[in-house]
Amino acid sequence: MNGERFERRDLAIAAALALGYLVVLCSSTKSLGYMRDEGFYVFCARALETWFDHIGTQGTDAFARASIDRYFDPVHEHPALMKLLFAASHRLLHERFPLFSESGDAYRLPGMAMGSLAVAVLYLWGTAAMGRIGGAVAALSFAWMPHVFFHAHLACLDVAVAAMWLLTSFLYARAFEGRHWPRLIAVGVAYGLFLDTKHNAWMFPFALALHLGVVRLVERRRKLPRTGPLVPWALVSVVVLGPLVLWLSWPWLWFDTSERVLAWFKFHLGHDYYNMEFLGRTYWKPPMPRLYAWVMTLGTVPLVTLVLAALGLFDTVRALVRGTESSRLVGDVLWLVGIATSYAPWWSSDTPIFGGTKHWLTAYPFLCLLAGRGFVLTLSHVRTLLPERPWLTRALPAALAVAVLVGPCVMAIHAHPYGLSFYTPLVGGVPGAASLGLNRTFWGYTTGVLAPDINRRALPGAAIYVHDTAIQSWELLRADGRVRSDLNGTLALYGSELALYHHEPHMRRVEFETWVLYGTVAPVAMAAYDGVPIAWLYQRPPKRAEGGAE
Amino acid sequence: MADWPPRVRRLRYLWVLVPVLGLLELATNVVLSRRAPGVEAWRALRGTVLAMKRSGEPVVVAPEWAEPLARLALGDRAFPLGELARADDRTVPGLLEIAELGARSPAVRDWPVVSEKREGPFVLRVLRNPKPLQSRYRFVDHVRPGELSVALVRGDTEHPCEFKEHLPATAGGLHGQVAFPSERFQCAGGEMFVGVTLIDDQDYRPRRCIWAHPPQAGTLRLRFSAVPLGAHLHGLAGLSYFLFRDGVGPPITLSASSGGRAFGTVSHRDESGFSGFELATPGLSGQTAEVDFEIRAEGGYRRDFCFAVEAVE
Repeated sequence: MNGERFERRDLAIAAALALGYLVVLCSSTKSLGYMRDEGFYVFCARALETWFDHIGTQGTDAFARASIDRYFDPVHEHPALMKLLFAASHRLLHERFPLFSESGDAYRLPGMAMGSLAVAVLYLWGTAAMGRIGGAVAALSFAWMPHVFFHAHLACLDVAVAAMWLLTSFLYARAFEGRHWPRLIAVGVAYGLFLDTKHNAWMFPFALALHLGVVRLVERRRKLPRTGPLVPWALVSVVVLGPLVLWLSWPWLWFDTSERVLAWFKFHLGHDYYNMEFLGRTYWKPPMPRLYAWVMTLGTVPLVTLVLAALGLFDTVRALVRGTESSRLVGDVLWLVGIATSYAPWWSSDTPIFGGTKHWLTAYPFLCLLAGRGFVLTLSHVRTLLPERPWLTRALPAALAVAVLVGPCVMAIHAHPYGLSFYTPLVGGVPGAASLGLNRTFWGYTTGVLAPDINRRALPGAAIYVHDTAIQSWELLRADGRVRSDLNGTLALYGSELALYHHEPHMRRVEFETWVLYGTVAPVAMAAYDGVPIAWLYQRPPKRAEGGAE
Repeated sequence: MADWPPRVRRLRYLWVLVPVLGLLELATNVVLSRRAPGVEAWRALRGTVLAMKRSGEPVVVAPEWAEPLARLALGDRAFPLGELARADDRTVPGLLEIAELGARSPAVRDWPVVSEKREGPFVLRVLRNPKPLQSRYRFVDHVRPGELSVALVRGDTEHPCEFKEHLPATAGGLHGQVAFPSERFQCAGGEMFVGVTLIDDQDYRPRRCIWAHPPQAGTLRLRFSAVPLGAHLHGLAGLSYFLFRDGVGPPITLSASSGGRAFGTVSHRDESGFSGFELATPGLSGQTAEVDFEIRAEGGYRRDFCFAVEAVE
């Protein structure tokens, strides 16, 4: 990777890919319910919208400690960037200029834009490293990873932090060699915003240190000329400028800075353990299964993408060990380090696994860059097997690209709106995964699938037991008219008329409570994905007194 | 590569497998996504299942994850709560297994198949329990006045717990109490009652049992009158596994006796889940007698104990 300018055509293609992805994401939100975390982030964003109002009415007083503490306090365990963007998007694109009729879509737009940004950067970096077709395959492999496609819809931080890791790495690679000030400032600012997105960014300087060590080692072993200064200015920019930008862009840190930074670290380094089912067992305390990240990657990323990535990895490692060109070195090692660092915490059996694949989502862009390289390698070999005909030479790349992308694309679309319930054919698809005892759902968002049944069955003003759906997420469904405005979400089963149940083994006790209170074990509606029950709805039988279990 | 032996050179065709794999994965995904029967297929099974279902012989679904669909389609008649949340299979004479995707229920895989019938995507098997225990009395079915009296016993003092029929049925959600039924023997103070409810066992499966929270001091006594006894009392007991799997609470003891004659005492630790015990009732088989269960726990704060016992031959 060097710092050459991109052709205008490539910039246009990157923009088209990003815009296309954004349109697909925006047009497929309607059946997707709101996750627990989305409910919490929207709650934060609403507080920040009020802060925006205070800036308008109170001017600089809005930046005083009392104001900052009040409006930035909700969920201060996570930094401000995305929450501010959610708030700004909602305020501007739903309330002021009603581009989005549903408030949820406006809150989700920044998350979707981050997914699109990742697609664009993947194309550009992939194109620079291995040509347009490799870049396109890398970008689309990422876009159509079923779990990425799901997370890319959300007003959450996970795809955003993956995009920021990718973007910062990309800018770092471009700034590595020289002393080009705009690029150096860009990478420092990008890292600051990366820090302000999610705490995964803490690992990035360690990744860069590892990167530098490997690059210098390979240069020395292969007797290649050193790329750039011994310690690149880009690294200095990351380390110096990054924290400064974080401080500037996260007002919560303006006061009691050291205490709050320490508390931020402490919260995530000592995070609670939540329940997660894996291979038929519910894990809720250490030791966590060390195979979790690997098995879940195998079970949720399309096999063809993984095989391409494996081929790309082979080619990349071979070039590092035996190659003679140095131009690839900085970028290639960044890709490998991006994957290794993202997966590293799950080598420890003390690391929580409650979030499933989102924990190591930051590895997937780099995995897809390797897949792009694997594709180019495959293309070059398949080309030698075919007769040399001009039309065939022209058609082959597109045909091969379709062959490796159509499966992931169909799987991603088919996964919608169940998202997290999706598993690849390698583990037998959704039914196979259920039989293996892999987690079927979490975050309570499949309420979105059952919303029409709730609307049809509930009496006016009924109380609906929302189970794992956060009340804030339920309120979003209500505000957007997806569930009737007269229906009240409740966490009290007693007094409810309809009860949701989102299946996880440890949650079953809630279903048993419903059986006792409602006097029935028969759900009235079900969100089943490929024949596998994911979430279901109970209705209190009419005129039945709340009875015992007999 | 040109100078490689032909056999090795042929390996280059393996590169074609990459795009083929992409298309194969797509096709497999389409096939797998349509394999498991949906709710309409389950609904079509309703008449057949209800005709085959015998009282006291539970319906089991294989694979187990499909059971909620079966409950939706077949309704409460196919899944009476007492059968669905049974303590175990030992006293069950037989089962009706509904299987899809070639699955079998692991727990009853070895039971003899009496009949087997294919119906659409399903296989219906009537299974016979090879070694059923004969149940003479299932205590959980007799938690009502006239058959059971409940009292808190502190020293020589007894405080009877009164039977109430219309108390509010409540539940605590994921981290709260299990469902408290509206019909229960309510003791003085707080959560002290005896009634029938469900708890989650160590596999997070439902178990129907008699909720009997011991007092912080003294004993909770349940006295069942006119119990036809067999050779043993076969029981299972535990607390909600999700709530108490940390195992930090003090042990709970359950003692069984009849007319001052002790059958034995069982000590239960939280982390054991819903675990079994066997108490002999020597010389009483075939007789009808009063049976007492006494439950106690030292420092019994939140000792959400629940047990299911049967008098068996």
